Amino acid sequence: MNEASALYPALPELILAGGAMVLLMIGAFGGERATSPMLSYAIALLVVAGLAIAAMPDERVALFNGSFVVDGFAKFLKILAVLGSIGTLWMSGDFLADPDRRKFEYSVLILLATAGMFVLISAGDLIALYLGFELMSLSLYVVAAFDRDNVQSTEAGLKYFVLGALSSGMLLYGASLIYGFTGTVKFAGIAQEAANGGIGLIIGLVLLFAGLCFKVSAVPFHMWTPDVYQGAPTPITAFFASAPKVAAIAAFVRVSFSAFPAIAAQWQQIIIFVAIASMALGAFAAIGQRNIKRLMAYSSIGHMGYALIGLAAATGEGVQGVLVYMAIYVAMTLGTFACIVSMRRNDKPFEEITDLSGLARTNPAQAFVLSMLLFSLAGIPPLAGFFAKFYVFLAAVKAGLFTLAVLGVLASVVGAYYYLLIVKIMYFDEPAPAFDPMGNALRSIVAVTGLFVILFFAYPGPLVEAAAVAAKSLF
Amino acid sequence: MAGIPLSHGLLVAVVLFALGLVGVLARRNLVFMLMSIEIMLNAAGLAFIAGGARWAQPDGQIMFILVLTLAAAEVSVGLALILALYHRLETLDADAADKLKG
Repeated sequence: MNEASALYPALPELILAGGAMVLLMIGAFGGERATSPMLSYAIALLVVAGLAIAAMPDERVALFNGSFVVDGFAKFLKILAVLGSIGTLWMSGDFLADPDRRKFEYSVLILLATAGMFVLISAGDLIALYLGFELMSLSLYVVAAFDRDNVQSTEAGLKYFVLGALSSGMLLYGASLIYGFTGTVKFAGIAQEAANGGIGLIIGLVLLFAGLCFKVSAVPFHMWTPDVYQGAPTPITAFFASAPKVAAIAAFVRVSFSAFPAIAAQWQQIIIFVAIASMALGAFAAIGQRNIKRLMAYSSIGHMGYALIGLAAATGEGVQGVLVYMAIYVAMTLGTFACIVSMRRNDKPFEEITDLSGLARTNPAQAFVLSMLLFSLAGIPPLAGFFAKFYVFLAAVKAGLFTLAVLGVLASVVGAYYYLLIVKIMYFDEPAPAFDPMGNALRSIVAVTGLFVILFFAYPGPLVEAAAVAAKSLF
Repeated sequence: MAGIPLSHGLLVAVVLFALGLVGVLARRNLVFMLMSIEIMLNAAGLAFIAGGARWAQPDGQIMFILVLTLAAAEVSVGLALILALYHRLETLDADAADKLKG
């Protein structure tokens, strides 16, 4: 095999990184006029990268001495991440059309963040893990503060940066302890040494998990989530809620199973605690919220708690549950945020939950799809969100974690309250003035995700099978 | 070769890391918070070097060089964000950024 074809497994990353550089040049020479064509080029690049991923074989291929691993697991999650990024760019057209925000860097930053997620998902050692983590985070800090004439957006970016840098410091310090006590940065090597690593290794593991918990916004590292979700422009909030969560969960699962299977009993304790705390906080703290983006922030904290139940089970079925959960979560989140992006009157965004009142009378179709998405987020059968929860709870029960599964069911009952409250406001309250008509891009996202959520129960096979194949590649 | 034992290197690193962590949490000036974050990253770098010396491998030093470059990237992003906030609020006090809460 010659040098160039040996790089084939890294083709999607190369497409995104190279494409981002080319787009940067187009933007630098084209200026503001290039912004909207660049958005289309970026979507095209992401689609090409997605196709390149889909064409990869399912077998495990390791590149760069095992630093970079491509397997079925990476394939599944990379496709999810790329779908999240495409959805975000797809709904950003109107946001970038505003003359004050016509900045071409937007598409470039999203591409680079996605490339970072790919590296994070494929990481086979601590070096690639940290590199992917930072490439993703640095791009995200900048997009959070993208609307820089708006003090809220700037504040969101800065808060995200300070707490994010703190968490990457913890992750790195954890990585350094793991290296110090095992003598290797490779996950496979750490797996061999982990059993006799001692207390230093456990401390390193806890710090590493702290950094990852921050990125999935799991309790107790969730403090940034509501502020950043509220302050960042809405399409960017949709991005934060979808693709980076997928990548961080992927890193979480991969680190747990490929580097620390020997001390599974120890990290299981941590994950169980984090999952319970996230579910409880997500369920209770969302109740008093008036801003819908803040509400979605608490909702996503809760959802990460449910997804981590699958990891806590520490079995192949658990990982399968996590993968199904993330796929359905991305669809629900993109659909809901497309509805939130469309909450505009006279080109001004509205974000209060009361702005939705009487939507059923002003726009019955949107109200119907949004309530389906909210029912699905609440986990009401037969919508997709129910199956997502079903698979993780099932895995937890099979692994003997009955208390965790029961607490999960209780938290989702409490959480259903605030989703249903929004539905009640949309259907039974006096109508607020109508929103501006939805653009075609938003309409297509809402339609596709709505159909997915409603019809998933009829045809769950392909997704569940694909998740099973992906989960198998870790064991 | 009578090198420095791993525990000494890690001890210095943990002290540095704690200093940085306390600095981020206690300081209210954004530039000082950024400096404290840098100290945390350097603590991790030092721990990597100590580990590399303990196992007589180049990996630790390679990781340190990577940390150095990424820390520089992190500072440039951080300073840009601090500047953007300074233009809006005319202060470097982190507590002045309080528009988002609930």
